[in-house]
Amino acid sequence: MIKKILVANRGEIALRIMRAARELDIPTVAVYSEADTQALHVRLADEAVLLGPPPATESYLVIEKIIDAARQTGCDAIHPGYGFLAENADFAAAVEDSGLIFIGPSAKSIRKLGNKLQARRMMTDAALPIVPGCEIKSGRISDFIAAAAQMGYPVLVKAAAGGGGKGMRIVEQEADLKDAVEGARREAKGAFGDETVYLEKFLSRPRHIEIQVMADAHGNILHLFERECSIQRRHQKIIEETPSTALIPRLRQEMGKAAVAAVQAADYLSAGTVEFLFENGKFYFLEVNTRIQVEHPVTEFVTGFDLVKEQIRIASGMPLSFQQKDINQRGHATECRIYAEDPQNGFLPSAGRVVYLEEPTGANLRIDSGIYSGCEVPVYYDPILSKVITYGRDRNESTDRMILALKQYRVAGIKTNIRFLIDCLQHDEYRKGNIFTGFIDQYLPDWREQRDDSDSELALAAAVLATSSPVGVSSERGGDTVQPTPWNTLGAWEL
Amino acid sequence: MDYEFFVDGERFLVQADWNGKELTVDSGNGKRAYQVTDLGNGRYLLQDGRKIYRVTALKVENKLFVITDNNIYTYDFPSTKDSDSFGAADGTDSDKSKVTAPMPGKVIKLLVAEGDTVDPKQKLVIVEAMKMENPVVAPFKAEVVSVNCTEGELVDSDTLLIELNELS
Repeated sequence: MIKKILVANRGEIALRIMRAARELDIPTVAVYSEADTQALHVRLADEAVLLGPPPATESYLVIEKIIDAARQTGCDAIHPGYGFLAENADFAAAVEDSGLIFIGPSAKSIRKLGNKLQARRMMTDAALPIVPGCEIKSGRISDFIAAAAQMGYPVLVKAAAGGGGKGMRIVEQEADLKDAVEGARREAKGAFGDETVYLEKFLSRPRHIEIQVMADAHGNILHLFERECSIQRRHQKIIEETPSTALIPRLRQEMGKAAVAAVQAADYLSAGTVEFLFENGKFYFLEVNTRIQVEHPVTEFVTGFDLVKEQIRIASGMPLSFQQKDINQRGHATECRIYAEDPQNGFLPSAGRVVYLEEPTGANLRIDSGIYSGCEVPVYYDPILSKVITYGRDRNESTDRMILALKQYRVAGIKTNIRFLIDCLQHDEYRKGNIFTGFIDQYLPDWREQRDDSDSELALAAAVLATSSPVGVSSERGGDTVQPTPWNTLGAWEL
Repeated sequence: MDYEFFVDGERFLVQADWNGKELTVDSGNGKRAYQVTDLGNGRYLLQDGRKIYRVTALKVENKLFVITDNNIYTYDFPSTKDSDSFGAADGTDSDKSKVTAPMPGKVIKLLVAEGDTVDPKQKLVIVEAMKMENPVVAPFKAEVVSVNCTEGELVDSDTLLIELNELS
């Protein structure tokens, strides 16, 4: 078994990985930037190594610094989490070359699958259905325009090395194509260090359905059924669930088989996700994510398996601890991503200090969180704060439980998308399972919070309490009895 | 005694008596009395007969956050000690001809120059924050009077980026 793991990530996923390691009695090392000295992942780790200045390009993305940190602390393995270097084949290769274990697929597999363009070619060879699209080898805007005209608008500009909606643009008309290509290139370069983009036909009402796969070094490859992640904003998933309301058993089996075939073609190891678009009963291969996904907990709820622990076991050379026949979907699970953003104000990122945090508790509820009361949310990184995952015996129960949990999730100091998530979940079409990737644009385009100010009087009463102290309390200095004023007692309430 | 609180410039006047156990408040809709249990760390239990309310009130810098079961209320405090100037609207805040950074980030693209004429919603500057590109757009048809940022510059929230002169 692996002896000590460096977690090359931050936020909730770093904590998730450390907890899995701890269950296996494996100590962990955190890495952090100067912006994250007080971050939660640093506090949970057994050891922590400072990487450098706040920008990710000078800290979390610097391969040599991370490998040095692993060496210094005597780690024999590195878990990349998601984002940052998780799907960077050069990083996986550097880890392998330095004699450490990369907890994930081989650099070779990542290179084959991680580049969306190469993956499309491979899947075509493996006879998987793919979304119509094309690469523009010349990179010239005029060639993009010609290709888009042939395909028909709307088209999608996508980063070859992309993920999480970064480096992606929908283009409705030719006039916008140049800006979109340039913008996507810049974003892709900043996020992934590779500015290659390509074109894909934009399906009109697709669902996003993905299959979780796992493979070990003993030739076992299996799938853990689907996750539906159709509720997206700016191509970023915000609500995920399993099972999907769109799949009948035959399609579920077909997609599972296709997913296994897809990764088999790349000698896959560890956890991976094969993403499909689904429209009118047909599925199209989209891409393979060669990492643990943000939304993996919903699969863990319905199957009962711990995917991160399984990743660690596989990386240690052990066989998968279960077989395909052991995997069943039981009940329904839902995940909501809590983002630091202001839905009233164009979903702008909202960095700053979390002055108050109260997370919900209850039966069949899981919170994977990277924040605490008093923490700073830095401006430098992805705005995900935490994930709320609920489980129920069916979709209705899981959804109801989620709505209640979100209502009890209280964050002050920064803005979050919580109210927006509640309104998505309460929408009639969501409740009916009629969802697709354009759900938010269609049903909640100009969302405004419907505030319930019915307890504003109570709030004012609390405000009075916080600005005043009981009559007759002695002041610290002279022991004089002072009459409280609204402003002379405020200091006591500083966090 | 009287207390005043502000939410986005709106003034709330509260008359209250607080003796350490019982709180009587009147914010304009009649008197209410609560039995108060201080749970520590800004948390209170307020009881009105059998009815129980949980509230948390926290003072952070110049804001007061009150968290109820339904909502989070944010009250502003005066920025100066002179309580007379309390809550006076900051004229520049609502001046839309001064285009400011909506959040801390990095200016990655400057799309206009001095003297340009811009249309409503035209992109002026792209600020990258949290790895996403966020366009800053013109609020109205205008002439660009001055450009106050450069590509690559790190800007704070409310940093002046562009000054506009509205064209009718």
